[in-house]
Amino acid sequence: MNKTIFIVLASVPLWMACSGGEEVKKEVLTEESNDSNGIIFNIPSPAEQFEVISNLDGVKDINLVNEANKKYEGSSAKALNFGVYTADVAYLTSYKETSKYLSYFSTLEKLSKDLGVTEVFTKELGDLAKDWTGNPDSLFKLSDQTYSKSFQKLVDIDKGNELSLMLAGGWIESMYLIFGTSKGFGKSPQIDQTLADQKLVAENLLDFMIDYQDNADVKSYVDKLGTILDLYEKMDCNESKTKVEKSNGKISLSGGDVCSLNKETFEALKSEITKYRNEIIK
Amino acid sequence: MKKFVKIISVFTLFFTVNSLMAQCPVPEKIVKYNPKDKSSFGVCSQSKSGALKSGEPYEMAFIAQGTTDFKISAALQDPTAGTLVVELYEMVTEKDAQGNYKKVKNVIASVAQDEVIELTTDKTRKLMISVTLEGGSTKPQCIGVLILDKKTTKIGL
Repeated sequence: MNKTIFIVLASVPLWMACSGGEEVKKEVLTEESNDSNGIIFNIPSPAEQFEVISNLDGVKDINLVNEANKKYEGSSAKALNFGVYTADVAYLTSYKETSKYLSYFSTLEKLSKDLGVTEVFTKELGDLAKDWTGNPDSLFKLSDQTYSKSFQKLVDIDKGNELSLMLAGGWIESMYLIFGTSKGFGKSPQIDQTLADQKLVAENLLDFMIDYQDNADVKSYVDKLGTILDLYEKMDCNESKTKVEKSNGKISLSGGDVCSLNKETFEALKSEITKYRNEIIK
Repeated sequence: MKKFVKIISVFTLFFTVNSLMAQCPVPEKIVKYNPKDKSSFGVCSQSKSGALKSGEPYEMAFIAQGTTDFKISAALQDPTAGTLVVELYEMVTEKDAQGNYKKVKNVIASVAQDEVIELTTDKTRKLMISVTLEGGSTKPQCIGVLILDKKTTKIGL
């Protein structure tokens, strides 16, 4: 027995030393590695996407977002809609629509409890959400932080399935909102190009989710992303070499392969995205 | 007493395993960056940190959004644990002499630990970052890959 106590006591300083007060995260690099030669696939957050999109030639329509305070049953539906609401919050704050912010923030907070990421919604964050001093940019940053911290928390607690579904829900909602922001094919050329560029995001998202496709719900969205990527194959593409220029220590990239949507691909993608999105939020 | 020791053992084992699994701080705490950048650049959500073994390259694919400026750097949490080589590249399709198409690596930049790759892109691209730990300890070491971003400032009228 004395031996056992010795082992126990000897190991205490080890874990105490390793669990210091600093913000920590898991060994993401090794854990997220998938079968694709160990490459880790990342996608921009909805806030990062809408920060760019809100300055393009689209029109905002705040009625596009999912209704706040809806209730969802089951961890998959909750994870998907957590993603949907993060995209909605990013959309609203990027267009400086702050009046609805608190109800969406509170919906995210409620969903976070069931996903195990409730720690993200600290009192400090809640206070910031309530007292944002009239600066929409601070709410925009807050929504991005909420997404990033939720992402990290799901990695930390090994909820890869929920993370995959959160990312899928967020991306599908982002696509739905971008289509809704378009004035129609050919009428918002910058938005059309953004939609074409989303093929790269969809590819990375699919590659990320493949690791978790043993879960039936994740597999279902892997298949849906596969269908969307098949539609993207019908884009009009021109191949060219990337031009790399260096000036004052800064690298500028231009050129490279360019793909653009045609009306048929635009409409087919819009229809498929709308179908998936409506399935998620029902 | 036996029961108490058993509970403590299980509890201790649980925390030991957990703490060993969760050791790497977030990238912005590993990679030092110019405080001047804090006001204009934001930490991109695609930044990552984690443990890396010497000689085993870590590769990540990230989406560089168009009309955005990036500052990419990587660092070891323990700078004495070895040296890092950071490469930024893209995969391009090329036709060889036999007329076969293949994906090849087009290296855009290669830097050492704590050096910054400053980058701007006119359109959205899929880029790859490769980080290799050379020399030093054989134990896994925490590294951070920090990507800072901001919308490109338009110059001219």
